[in-house]
Amino acid sequence: MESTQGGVDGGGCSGRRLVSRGCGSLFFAVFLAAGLLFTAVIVGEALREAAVWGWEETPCVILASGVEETGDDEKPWRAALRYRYEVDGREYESGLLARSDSGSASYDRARDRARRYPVGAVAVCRIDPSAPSVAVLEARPPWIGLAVLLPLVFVAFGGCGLWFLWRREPRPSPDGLESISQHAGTGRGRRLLVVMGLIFSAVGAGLFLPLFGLPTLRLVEAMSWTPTPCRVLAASPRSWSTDDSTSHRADILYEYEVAGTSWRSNRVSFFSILDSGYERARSTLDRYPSGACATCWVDPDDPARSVLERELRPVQLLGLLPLVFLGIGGALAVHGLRRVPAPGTSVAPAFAEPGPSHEPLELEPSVSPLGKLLGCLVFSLLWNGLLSVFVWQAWKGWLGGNPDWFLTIFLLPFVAVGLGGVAGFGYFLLALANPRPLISLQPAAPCLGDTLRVEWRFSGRGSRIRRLRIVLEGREEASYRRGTDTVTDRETFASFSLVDTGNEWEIARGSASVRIPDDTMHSFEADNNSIAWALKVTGEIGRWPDVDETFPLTVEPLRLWEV
Amino acid sequence: MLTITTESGGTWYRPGEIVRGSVTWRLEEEPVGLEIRLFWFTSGKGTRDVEVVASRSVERPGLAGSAVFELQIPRGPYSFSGRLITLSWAVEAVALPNGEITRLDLVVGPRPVEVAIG
Repeated sequence: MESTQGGVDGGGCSGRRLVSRGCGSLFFAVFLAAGLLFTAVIVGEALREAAVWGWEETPCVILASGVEETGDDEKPWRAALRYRYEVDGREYESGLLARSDSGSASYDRARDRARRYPVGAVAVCRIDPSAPSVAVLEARPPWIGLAVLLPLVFVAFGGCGLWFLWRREPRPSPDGLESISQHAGTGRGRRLLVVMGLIFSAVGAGLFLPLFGLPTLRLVEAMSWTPTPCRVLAASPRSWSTDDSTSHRADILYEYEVAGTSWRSNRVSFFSILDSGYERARSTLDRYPSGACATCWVDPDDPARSVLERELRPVQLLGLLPLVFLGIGGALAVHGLRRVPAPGTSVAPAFAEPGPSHEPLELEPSVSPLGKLLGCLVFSLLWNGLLSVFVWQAWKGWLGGNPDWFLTIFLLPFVAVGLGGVAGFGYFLLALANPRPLISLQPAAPCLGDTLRVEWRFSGRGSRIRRLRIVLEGREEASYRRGTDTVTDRETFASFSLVDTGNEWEIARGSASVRIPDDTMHSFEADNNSIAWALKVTGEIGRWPDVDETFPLTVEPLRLWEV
Repeated sequence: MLTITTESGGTWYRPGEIVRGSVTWRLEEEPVGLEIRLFWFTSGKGTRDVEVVASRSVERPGLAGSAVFELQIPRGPYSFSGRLITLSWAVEAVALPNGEITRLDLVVGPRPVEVAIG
């Protein structure tokens, strides 16, 4: 038999394609250029920061040490230092703590930096070899270099886009036939999924820790701190422009005394990031006007550490949102890892046949009732948690007599989904009390043409079930992209009823057999297409959620000697 | 021009059988290699899945020549056709890196026709 060379259109290089390729190239080139530019800027800055470690060290005397205002609302406090040093017999004075010390929003941090260099102390400073008048007290790790990850995303996007547009495509055969086998999966997509999942998780963890994790740890620690009277020295509204808005924060500088020593701090709460915003800043300024007396909480082991408020307010729970990223990223990575084939393995049945087994196999449900409940709970929490921000905005409008009709109507379907989630949670919560079907199978690895013996019984009160149905189903499942979504269509191609009874004794425990036809399709699983066999167990319960569980099983191809 | 010929002259193979045949070629550009791949692929509603289960490489094949191959079919999947998915088998010969190709469609299963479901 000779091969036939069919006519699949290889596609010509039309003018339209060239234009679209040109536009695409321009689009991706902009990303690539911007990414490279910012990468160069960040790398340059990181290199200059790292170079400080190579500057020559020399002794210096601290002349002044304190905290001063920078005049910048975003970072209003800075360690004010002055020190003297000598180079080649000539004396110099400098006030630089580090090469890039732009101040801090925290008075405590600026004060702690200054405390490291008390007046009169001899410290070691580093001298710029190209300009002896420039010196710093501290060389810092070039953490700014980590920021290069962001423009590198642009570089990767632009570079990959250009590569994709201009890669050398396989030339079609003279008769127009295109290779199919070259599209065979290499597991790259799954590996990409793992990498993306890990990036998502890292971003989630990176946001969760400063927003909620670390502040909560400090809050717990502060539970044992000592209440101490304090006086507000200054209550200043701070506001500064960001890329597309203005940020606000209340800067409350207060003073307290411990064992005869005065201390100052501006830490109102441990959740400083989430406590920003005009309304909250205004509210904080109203609570702590300049000159007011208050109670602050002071660490008995280190009186420099204090806080004005140690409550956990509802708005601070927003810091839990990054857990969504963490969860989604983790799920993506696990999903990717589960499906990355080891080199040389196949998702299709290979050569090995299942050995003879007389031991029945206890089947596990595809999703346990607890899994359904937790899934519904997580969905409801995430969905309703995010939605609550917008609902609250709409609700405030209604309370203030200025309802936003568009927002209200727009939110209605989303609220309906949220309520459905809550109802679903209630449903699955009730279903937890249902009797659990226990299904065993013999043979454990049935082949096409085998007679399958299924035994069932229930844990819990099986007598609550009025009617029991068990069906063996074979189903096609095909996943495809529609827009940005992945859709899976399912089609049942085989259905065999094993039991359909209302008899109490038959429901409680029983067995049934069914022969799997030898002219149907065995189980098969690929990335986007699969043939899935399963036992579907349905138990009707009066005025209560029904038992509804699916037990996947694997149907093997015919044994080779039977073929 | 590339041509695949099976030893038996047929296109139906049972699981576990070996596809024996030969590839002959007469090409206009000299390829760096030639690859003969036994693979399955899906078509239908779902995104296409493709898996090469066995392959044989011919290095420096020259402008013209022939090579025999033996590729073993695994236990599955069978060739089948349903409402959503069709799974087909084929042997493909590809002149590398970007040259001509040819394909021979096969039926893999216990019967000489694909399994029809749905």
